[in-house]
Amino acid sequence: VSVAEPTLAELLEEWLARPTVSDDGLADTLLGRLEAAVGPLLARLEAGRLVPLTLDKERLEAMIGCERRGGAVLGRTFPVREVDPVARGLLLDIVVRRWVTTLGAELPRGEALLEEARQLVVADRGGGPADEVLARLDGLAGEEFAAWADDLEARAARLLADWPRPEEDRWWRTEERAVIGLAGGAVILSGRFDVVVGGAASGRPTVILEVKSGRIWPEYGAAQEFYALLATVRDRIPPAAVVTVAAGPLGVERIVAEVDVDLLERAAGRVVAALGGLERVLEGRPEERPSERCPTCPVRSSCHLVAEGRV
Amino acid sequence: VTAGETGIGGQEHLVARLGEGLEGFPPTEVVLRAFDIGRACPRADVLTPEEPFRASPRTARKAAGVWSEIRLLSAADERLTPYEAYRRARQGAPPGCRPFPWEWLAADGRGREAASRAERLVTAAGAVTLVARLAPLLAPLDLADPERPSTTSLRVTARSPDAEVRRVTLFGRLDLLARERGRRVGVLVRTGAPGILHRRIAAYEALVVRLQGRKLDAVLLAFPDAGRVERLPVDEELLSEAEDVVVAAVRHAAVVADARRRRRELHEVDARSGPECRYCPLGDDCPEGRAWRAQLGG
Repeated sequence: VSVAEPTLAELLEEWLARPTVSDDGLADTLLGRLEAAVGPLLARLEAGRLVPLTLDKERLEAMIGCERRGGAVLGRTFPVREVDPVARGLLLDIVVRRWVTTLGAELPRGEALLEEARQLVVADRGGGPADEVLARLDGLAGEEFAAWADDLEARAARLLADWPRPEEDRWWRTEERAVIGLAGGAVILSGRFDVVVGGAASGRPTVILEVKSGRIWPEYGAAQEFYALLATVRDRIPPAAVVTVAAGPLGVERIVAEVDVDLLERAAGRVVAALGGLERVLEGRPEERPSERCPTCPVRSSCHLVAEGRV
Repeated sequence: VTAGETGIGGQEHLVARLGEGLEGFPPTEVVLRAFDIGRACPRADVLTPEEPFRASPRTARKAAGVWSEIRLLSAADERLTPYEAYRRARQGAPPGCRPFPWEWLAADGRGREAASRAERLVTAAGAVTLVARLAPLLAPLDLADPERPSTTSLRVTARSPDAEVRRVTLFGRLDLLARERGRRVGVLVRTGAPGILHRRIAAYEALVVRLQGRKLDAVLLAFPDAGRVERLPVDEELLSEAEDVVVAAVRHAAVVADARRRRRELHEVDARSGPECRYCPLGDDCPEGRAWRAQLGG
């Protein structure tokens, strides 16, 4: 017997119909735990002129994966290694943004869709995409342009197939940033939600949707939990769920995180662990850990594990 | 001495302080905006192109979002969605309120350039999100008569002890002006989380308003990303802090202008390391930046 998975439309219907309930002090408890972890670091951060220090999901993931790499990515930006996947992600993301903002207006087809998406990415410059990604999109032409257009249209169609049409009174919106300032703004936890439904003054629970253009990676689960933590502490009401939808080349995958206390505690624990890693970095004794990121690590050339042949 | 007249927060007081702060520099024309308050590293700033302020979709989306919020506050008895607030904002200004130049987004209003269809769409997307976040923050404040203030500027002529004249233009731009229980409040909408820089920017904006002889009782800092509002009374303490901020920023600008004029080598200009080192184009060519990164093992 097979049971069909509920569509995203059905899940949203259920979550948005739930009553919004006070967090009963949960946000304060979580915040207190995070503040306590920053406390011992503060003097060192200020002395090193590292304030304000922003930790987003990539930096947290890097620090938890390997403290050498985590410290390095805090200190400098590295060039995008694989431009095409980033460019495809950006295009899909902006198509979703267009779809939400126009409340589900029909998307153009084929090359017209790609051209519009490219223009939207360019118009959004300064909002994140690296120069090399914009250059890649600007350089698409001929058969390559047509192939990218087909790919974008197919991914967008698959992704949005089971989404409900955005409704004004459910406060659909895009690119919503959430931050938590710790120690008076010395450390900032930061995230940007791709799509948000409900919440704010809508009178409904919040649901966060993350859009991906490749396969589901293991760290996406941690990112969902981090976003749930940000929204809970900011709004003092936990979101109902964080959903990641990935439109890969062949199909759509979805991971759903319904938010509860255990999930939020886990997310806070991960931030505390990353701050512990940062403390070791600043003390000059970061823990180097082998991972699947090692082959593309930007500090590989000075890594002890590599020198010792352990990765 | 009453704050805001000839004492703290007054023009004479500020001019005297600017004169002292600029002693030793050749005549300089300095233009300051709130953006300049956060500048810290003279070496990096010597590299920064001296571009005039140019409107971008990023600034447009904030301006349109704030304007939609004004429309929403003006219709406080109705439960508007962010989309409806944005739509109404485009349709017209509330009575007594200076209209927002929507043609700036719609046609050839942005200098010689027209905003493209794509730019208009990303602006609308950002405005809707901003008003969704601002609405629950500002609604409990009971703000009345909201309006978008005009950009303000003030030219201060400072005569330093060596009798050379410097002109300093201070540009101010509060996002929103309103009354709260009869008191005049200016609202600043800022991204990110509250920090020391935001207090300095609020102080700067309060000083510009005061120097123009207008009354402002408090500055409200609204942080939609953080879900917080902070209220700073405009008093002698804040205005005194603002004078310090202006003097430091003008001195910083004079150092940068002087280094450019004299075509100084970058290593001859002082550097101040900080989080900006992460993005600085000088990279490892700057010893201070290298040292800053070294503490992170990079």
